[in-house]
Amino acid sequence: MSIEVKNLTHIYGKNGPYEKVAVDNVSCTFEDGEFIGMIGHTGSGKSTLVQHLNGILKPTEGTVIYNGIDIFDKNTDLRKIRQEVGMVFQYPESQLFEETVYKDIAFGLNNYGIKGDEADIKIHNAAKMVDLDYDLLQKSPFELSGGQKRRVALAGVIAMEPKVLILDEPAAGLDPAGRISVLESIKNLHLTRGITVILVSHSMEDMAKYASKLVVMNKGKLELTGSPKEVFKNQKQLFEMGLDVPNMCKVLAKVRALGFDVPESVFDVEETAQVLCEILRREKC
Amino acid sequence: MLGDITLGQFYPTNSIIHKLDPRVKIMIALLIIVGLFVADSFYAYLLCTLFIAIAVFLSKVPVGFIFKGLKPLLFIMVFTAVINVFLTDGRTLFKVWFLRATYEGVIIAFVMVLRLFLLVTATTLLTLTTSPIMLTDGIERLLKPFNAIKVPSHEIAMMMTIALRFIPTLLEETDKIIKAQSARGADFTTGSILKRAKAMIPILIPLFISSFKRADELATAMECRCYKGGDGRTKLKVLKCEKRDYIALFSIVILLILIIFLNIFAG
Repeated sequence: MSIEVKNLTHIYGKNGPYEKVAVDNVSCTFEDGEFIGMIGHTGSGKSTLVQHLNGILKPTEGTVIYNGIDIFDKNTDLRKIRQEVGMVFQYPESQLFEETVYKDIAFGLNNYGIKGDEADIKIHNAAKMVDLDYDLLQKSPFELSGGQKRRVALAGVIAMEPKVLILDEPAAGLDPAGRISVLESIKNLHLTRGITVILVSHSMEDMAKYASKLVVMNKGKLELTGSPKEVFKNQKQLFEMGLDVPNMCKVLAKVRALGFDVPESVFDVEETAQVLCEILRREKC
Repeated sequence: MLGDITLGQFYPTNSIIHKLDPRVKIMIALLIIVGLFVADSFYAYLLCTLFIAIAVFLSKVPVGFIFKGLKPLLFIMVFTAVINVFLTDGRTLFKVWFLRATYEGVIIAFVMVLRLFLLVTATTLLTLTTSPIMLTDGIERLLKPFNAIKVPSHEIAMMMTIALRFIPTLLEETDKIIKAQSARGADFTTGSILKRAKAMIPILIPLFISSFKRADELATAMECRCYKGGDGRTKLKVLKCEKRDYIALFSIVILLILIIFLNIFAG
């Protein structure tokens, strides 16, 4: 059970004056139950790549295999795939349209013929998952604040109970509290339902905190994959791609430059504190 | 999905036609339309065809590009031709079932199709060689005399500029919303017409809301920069007629005179 990307290439405006290769022959596999972080500079092709995973975009070449099914095969029912592979776009609040929050969350469910009590339970579960008060459900989505709208849009996808959840910058433009709340909801979802999460983000701190595997894109190509520890070791390479590393990595790099022996795989705040304490203790002796 | 649509078909080549003052180009396009409707003889049409052919040649726009713009009109042209060939009275050319083609019909059909073809080519050439901004600039200036009868020329031009500017933005937005709704299982392609029309609601409502929001934001931004309409507003690029513009205007006037002359003496 996995998503397998096979030699995927996507060219925008092919053979036109503005032809652009957005994704260039990318192959990778996302295993079940992983929390994948996808990082890359603006325009590195990460959004384009993830939009292939549920068939929203059609590849120029290559394909995507979901649980053994070629999703771009003519006989594949893409709507069924989209029920299992949920996708939350950048600034998803712009998709809200219904009279009430409740109805908007129900939109996806209704499209798949889920109605009545079954839908009601799922809607309430989804609202709870994203920390949305039940009394907001009967309000118009346009009366809500930006952060609340974002959570409604998120709930609209979560209610469909996808097995894979793709999120494109779900926390962009939110205040720190909203940011943490959204990301924690996603983490809880990952832990309680065991779903695969693919998170596209710019924030290295978030990636270090949540992701179990990182995928680094640069200029349409896959540059690095591996656990955060493995990826953040390549500080220089990441800087060259216009990316960053978590602040703790930078702190430890400076300490290392002073001639101290620091393990390379540390980027967590607590772990860093421990390492530094240890160095200080040794120095005193 | 919608990205393949090309709007505002400006084709930059930096030719002499491109450099012409937009006011002059709009005037010429209008006058040639008048000329085409006035023309009544073989030589007059020949002159118009020649005039437009020279303009196309000078513009350095590939001929294929212009013909591509004519494609949607193919049906109308064929339709006009067929109607004229079979429904004009005159000497019989041949008969198909109960329909009778006439010599006169063939001639009228040819003239009609040629007229349509030249009309569209001339106006297409105008939009191909003039950027939307220049075009609205020219329209604004040409409408200015009508200010006297309370035509808000500057406001009309500003509205056109803004509308043109936001077409790509709205297309992008629509594309994004379609994607987002289809990710939630929306289905736009199957079902009855009523069902499909209903499926458009989840696209149209967010689109309307974001357009209103955008308009509101733009209005605020313009006000912050002290926009107060056309009064007392100066231009960064002031339109100025040069020698080539006068030559172009002169040639179209000559063409019109010749057409009228031919009508009187050859018709």
